[in-house]
Amino acid sequence: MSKCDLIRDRLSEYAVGGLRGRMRARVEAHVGECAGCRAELKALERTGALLDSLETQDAPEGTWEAVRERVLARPRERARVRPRWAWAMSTVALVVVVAVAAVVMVPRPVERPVVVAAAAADEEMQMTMDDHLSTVWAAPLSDMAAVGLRMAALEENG
Amino acid sequence: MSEERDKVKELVARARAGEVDAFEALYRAHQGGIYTFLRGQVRDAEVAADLTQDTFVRAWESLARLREAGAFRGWLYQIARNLVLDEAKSGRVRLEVPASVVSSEENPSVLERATEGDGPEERLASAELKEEVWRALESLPAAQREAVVMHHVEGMGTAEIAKVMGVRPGTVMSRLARAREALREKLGGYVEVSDE
Amino acid sequence: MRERLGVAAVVVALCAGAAAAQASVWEAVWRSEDALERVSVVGRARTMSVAGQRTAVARVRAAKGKVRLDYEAGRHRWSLVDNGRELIVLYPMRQEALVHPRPRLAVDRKLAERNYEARKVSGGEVAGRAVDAIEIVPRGGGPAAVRVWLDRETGFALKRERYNVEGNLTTGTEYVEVEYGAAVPGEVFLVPQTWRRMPSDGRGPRVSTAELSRVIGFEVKEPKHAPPGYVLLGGHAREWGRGGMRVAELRYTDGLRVLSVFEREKGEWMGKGGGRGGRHEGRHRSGGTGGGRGRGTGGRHGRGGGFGFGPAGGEKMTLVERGTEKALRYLGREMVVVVVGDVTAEELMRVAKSVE
Repeated sequence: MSKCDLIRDRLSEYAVGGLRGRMRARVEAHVGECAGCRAELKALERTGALLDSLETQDAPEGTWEAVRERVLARPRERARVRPRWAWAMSTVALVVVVAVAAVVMVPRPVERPVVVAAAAADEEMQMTMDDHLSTVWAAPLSDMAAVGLRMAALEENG
Repeated sequence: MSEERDKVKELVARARAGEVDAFEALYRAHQGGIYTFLRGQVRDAEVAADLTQDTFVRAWESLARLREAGAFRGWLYQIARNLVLDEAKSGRVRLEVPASVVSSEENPSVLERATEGDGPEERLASAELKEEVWRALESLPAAQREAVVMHHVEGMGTAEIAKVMGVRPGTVMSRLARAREALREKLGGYVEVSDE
Repeated sequence: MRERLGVAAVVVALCAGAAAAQASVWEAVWRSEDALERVSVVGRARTMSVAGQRTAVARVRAAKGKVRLDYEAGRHRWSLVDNGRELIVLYPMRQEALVHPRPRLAVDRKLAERNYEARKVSGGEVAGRAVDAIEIVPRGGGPAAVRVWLDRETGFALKRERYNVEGNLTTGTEYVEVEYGAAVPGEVFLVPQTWRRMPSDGRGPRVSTAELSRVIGFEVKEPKHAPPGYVLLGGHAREWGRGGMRVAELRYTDGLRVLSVFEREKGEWMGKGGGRGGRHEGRHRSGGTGGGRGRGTGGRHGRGGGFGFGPAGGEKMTLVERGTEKALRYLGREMVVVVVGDVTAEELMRVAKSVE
């Protein structure tokens, strides 16, 4: 890996202000003397400027009216004001109920995974599943045509 | 700055007390950001408009439980973000887009045309170019897209974004960096500077 | 006494006969697996994935163990080539080729025979050819894993259905036209010269777990629990992304299904150069947004990150089901483990938790 490659790997982090200390100094020193990396950094900075030039778009007209209608139509949770003794009583009652429920209903905490839809799976989950799929291709009795169908679908998603 | 913060706090307090007018002021201040964010995530104007409504209705309903009025914006983005995830989970929207849909190989892009004669100012100002940048954004993974919109378009800091996304600021930073890299590649010749 | 011996002999003979029949059914299955080494095939097949809810028609060209599939699905076109060394996805619109090294699985066929029973179920006709249908069922009980319809004459599989452990159909492919012995030019298995080749992230050679630890720079641990019937095939060192995120991949199989176990050190996911850095995500439990508005939006909205977007964003266990396979990520004390395979979610959990 040449010095330029090493620096280029960190250029985008530098451009977004994500580098500190020695690494930052190294990038700056290199960019000062290497025209190629300097040009690349400029391109990244211009990309940032382009992004900064984007503006928010207004929600379609009538959105507030629709919100207002819905807001007025439904009851809403309020921060209710109650006398102190009522708070104290209800807190005691709650503690008792929770304690009883904990003893009676929950014999042991069960660890459960958080289930995520395939479409919303994060990068790590996607990558491991894609990788697994390419292994499945080579497994005995694999349905290659169908695996290929899924692999391409995944590539497009990627 | 803090004046604005105080104003938001006051509006939140009044809205909490049931003043719909105060809530309307909050809506006016944040609808653009929320709608743009949602549009960036779901890439469908109609769905984004519906979710904008839902976001504000939910916010109204649970305002009582917002403890730190000054953090209203981040809290609102979090509601919007969770609504998007609910939609994705139920399969009603797709967060990731097939590459073939966003590729513009059929028609020459604005980027190619823009590089031909315009000066940089004209290019930056071009609405068409902005459209193209949005399109490039759409091809990014959802997590990068949301970070970019919150940071560059809505002007939120990495710490605030990190709270919304429930990750560390460093993660936000690395998503912004990866997005920048990918967009730089997609925007190609346009952002390259030859007069070095 | 003599009568008894006679009965026993008959029983023994019957058992032996059944075993022999079993062996011959498996033989037919393996013969179909090797059919492309013997005969070239040109045809068209309908294929579908229930998991991805996709269907396509694929033009198939295969010879000398190499396969090319040209897909058509709606307005999408793409091709897949397995040339024995590489697994290539070709995108004609973009003139791009994504090149993966072709995975090699040294699966002992006897393992499949030990864990599954192959039995002939019926005959019939596929693509105008007479076929025998064979069903492959786990010996430990449970629904069929695979059904194949084999050409009586050539032994080639003209139809195939795969089912997951729950017994749901996940993928299926059926030929509608087939021609044997046609000439297939060698260049169809290559990437056209002018196309862009994009190599996928590297996968090192198959190595033992000890060797893998040495190569990868952290201690790779074999799970103490593997699903019944599964054996370790070997490990591979992986580097993902430009930052070179180091991931250890261990592959298991029961002879038919595969299970992949991915291990990495905790730290920033794909963080450039920071894959093994000191920042630990374990302590970063993202319940809500932290600060004063932790529970701001209540049960429904106070979930914070880690439920889909942020890789390893704090959830102790995350499960993704994609129809055919499931993936479970487990954040251990020092490691992040992702287990992917077609087993029950409980099995995935047991495997993942047994790593540390």
